[in-house]
Amino acid sequence: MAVVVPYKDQQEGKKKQISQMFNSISGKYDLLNRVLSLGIDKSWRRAAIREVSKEKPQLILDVATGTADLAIAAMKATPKKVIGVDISDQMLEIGRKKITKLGLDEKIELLSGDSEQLQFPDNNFDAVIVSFGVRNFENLEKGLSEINRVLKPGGKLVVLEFSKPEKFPFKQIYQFYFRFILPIVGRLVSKDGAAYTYLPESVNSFPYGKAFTDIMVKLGYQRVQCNELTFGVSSLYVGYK
Amino acid sequence: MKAETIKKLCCPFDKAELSLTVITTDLNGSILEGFLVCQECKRIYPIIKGVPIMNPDEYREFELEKPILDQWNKYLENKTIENFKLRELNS
Repeated sequence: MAVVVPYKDQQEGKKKQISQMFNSISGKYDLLNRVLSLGIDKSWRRAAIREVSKEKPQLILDVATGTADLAIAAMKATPKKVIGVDISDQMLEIGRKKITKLGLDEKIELLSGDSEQLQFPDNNFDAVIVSFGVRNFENLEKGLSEINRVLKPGGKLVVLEFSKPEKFPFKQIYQFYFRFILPIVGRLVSKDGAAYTYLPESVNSFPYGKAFTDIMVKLGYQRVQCNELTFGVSSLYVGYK
Repeated sequence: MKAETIKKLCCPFDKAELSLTVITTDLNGSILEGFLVCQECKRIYPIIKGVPIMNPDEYREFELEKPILDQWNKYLENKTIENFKLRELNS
């Protein structure tokens, strides 16, 4: 399958393009998330954090943390510390400002780094969370293996990612919205047309449901589950090391 | 960034241990400036404004890091930096 990238006329690899794309849209990213998901993204994050909280993790890693929305939401799980990693420095800069404003500097620390080459030792984290990040990995299996490496034995991975509704009429409504409305609104607000054409294209080509859980199982995750959110617009994947 | 967080990091490339040099800290003991060096590949990761720069090589901009590393020259103990790696100076 061809690799779906944001800027098709450029020669750089997916990772570099993703970093460039998020640096370009970082200023409007939070606003667009709220608007384009009709505010539902908050409830999806809450669902992800409810899942993480069950294990009472002390040390959580938020991979592809971006502007740190999920890392901040993870405070509900009352961990000792959340570490966030992202490849886009400009997204992290916005995240750091949010964290300082909330007085959470002691609890959340953000690091620049690559999800597929993490700078943490083996068996380090009680839980790893990724929201809307795995789709942007250049090499999905490498990223999920690297996460497995840094999880403690018995540690939990929670992945939140777009999937596709399959039932009538949600499938039809969703396709119309995703194909026609979202790229226009995204382009108008962020001024980066490619970024919000990339979003539906990358969702379309990304494995979801059983295809995704099969990959997790193949990489050694145990007790793997998939829960659909909002008629399948997003899915929550869970697995243990 | 807190020293305890920085001390837990390893090299993203070969997962080897890093040696930490602290240059400045804030009143709470958090590290503001310093650098990490991989024991294996000798890559140097500067800590700037409290943030360790640990991106893959192709995402780092040496031109941006150089003025800061030049200021830290005395901590580098006569070593030079090439492709983000520390090298012994030939005497």
